[in-house]
Amino acid sequence: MENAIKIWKKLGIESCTMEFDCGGDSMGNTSYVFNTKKGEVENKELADYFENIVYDRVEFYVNSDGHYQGESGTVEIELDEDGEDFTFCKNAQSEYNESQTSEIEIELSPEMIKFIKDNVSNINGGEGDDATVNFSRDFIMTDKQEKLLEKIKAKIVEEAVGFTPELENEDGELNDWFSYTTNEDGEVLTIKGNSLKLSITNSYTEFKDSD
Amino acid sequence: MKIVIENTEFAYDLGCRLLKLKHETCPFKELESVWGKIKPLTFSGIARLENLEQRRVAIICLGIDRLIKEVNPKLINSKTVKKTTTFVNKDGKLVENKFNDTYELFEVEGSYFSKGLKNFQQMENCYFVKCKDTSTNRVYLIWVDIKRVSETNGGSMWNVDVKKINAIQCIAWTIQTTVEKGNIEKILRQGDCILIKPKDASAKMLETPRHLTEKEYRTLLVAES
Repeated sequence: MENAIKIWKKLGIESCTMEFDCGGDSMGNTSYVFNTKKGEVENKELADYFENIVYDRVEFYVNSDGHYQGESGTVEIELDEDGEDFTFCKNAQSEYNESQTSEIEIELSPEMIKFIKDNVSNINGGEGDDATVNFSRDFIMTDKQEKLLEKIKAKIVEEAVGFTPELENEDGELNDWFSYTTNEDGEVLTIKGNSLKLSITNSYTEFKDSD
Repeated sequence: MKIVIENTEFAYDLGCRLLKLKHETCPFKELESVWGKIKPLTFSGIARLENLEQRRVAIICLGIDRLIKEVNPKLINSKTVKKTTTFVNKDGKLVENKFNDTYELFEVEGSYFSKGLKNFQQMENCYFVKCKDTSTNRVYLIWVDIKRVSETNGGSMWNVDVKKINAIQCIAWTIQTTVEKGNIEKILRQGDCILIKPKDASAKMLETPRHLTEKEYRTLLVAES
């Protein structure tokens, strides 16, 4: 540390800003910028020193789960008043994966509605996937019905992909991932007139100040 | 045109042959004129279906009784194990149940599956174990690799004497674990869910799962439902 303090003072450094990001059970890239009265300078020796000790002085939360994703931000490093040790102050935001379920109604043709009422128990899918149709009974599907089913699936995918929810948390950032279903297990699908109810669950990222 | 059976889509001809397995009388008006001419699918045909979901549905349509009758299996070995298990009755009391669990090992001639195949494609004899789910009384057929069963229980894999293989060895073989031999304290089974408690939980686990031996199954299985 003595050598690091010596270089710090010699270069007239006032503070060091370490930028970091972590998550997915590991640290991401880090960078160190040293601030002087004359501007920013780089110093490999000091950067290596801080890279070795910063993990003992600052807690980084790298372990992600289904909810917590990771954190990113800066660590401000300064020399203390006595000039004998460094102080570390983390300023970061954590990312959380949240989900929000919305209900929409999809307008279909009377022919499509009749086919669904007669033969379908559930339609579901998600980002990047074709719609999966579960049938409620055994039946012979004519070529005409097969084409009709393809149109139903395409219409549902189009509506689900085009749907943008109004997030409950205004600061949240909408992600690409979503899933949808017409009904949960044990429930029947809901049809009103020529409209089919679809529940869409969208994923979004919520940011909170880190500990 | 397609036919939807048990939530699975089939090509029209295949679907008709499956409907013939599933129904004694014609289920759809559109098929009445041809119903009498439709030949039901055989197990041999079902076994060749590449689509696993279609194969699953087709076996449901065929049913186990007809499957067994069709493949004309030969009983190789039958073993009955006396078991004791506990369950909670309607009054919330713990009740002990003693029962006999019978496992039967059957052999099916490879020629049954080899019709129309060239010599080098001919199949060897196949083996399955017939057993009952102890809580639902459903009958299950589980196909086993007889060579691997022999190897797991200390025999040869290349020169298998089928007479020396028994049904318990086969049913034990269907369970795999990464716990090393000698480190199992007990095994609990609920249907397809197997719980294995190691004697030493900190001991290194095997990188590749191994099959259970007859001895382990007979001596370490303490509860089953």
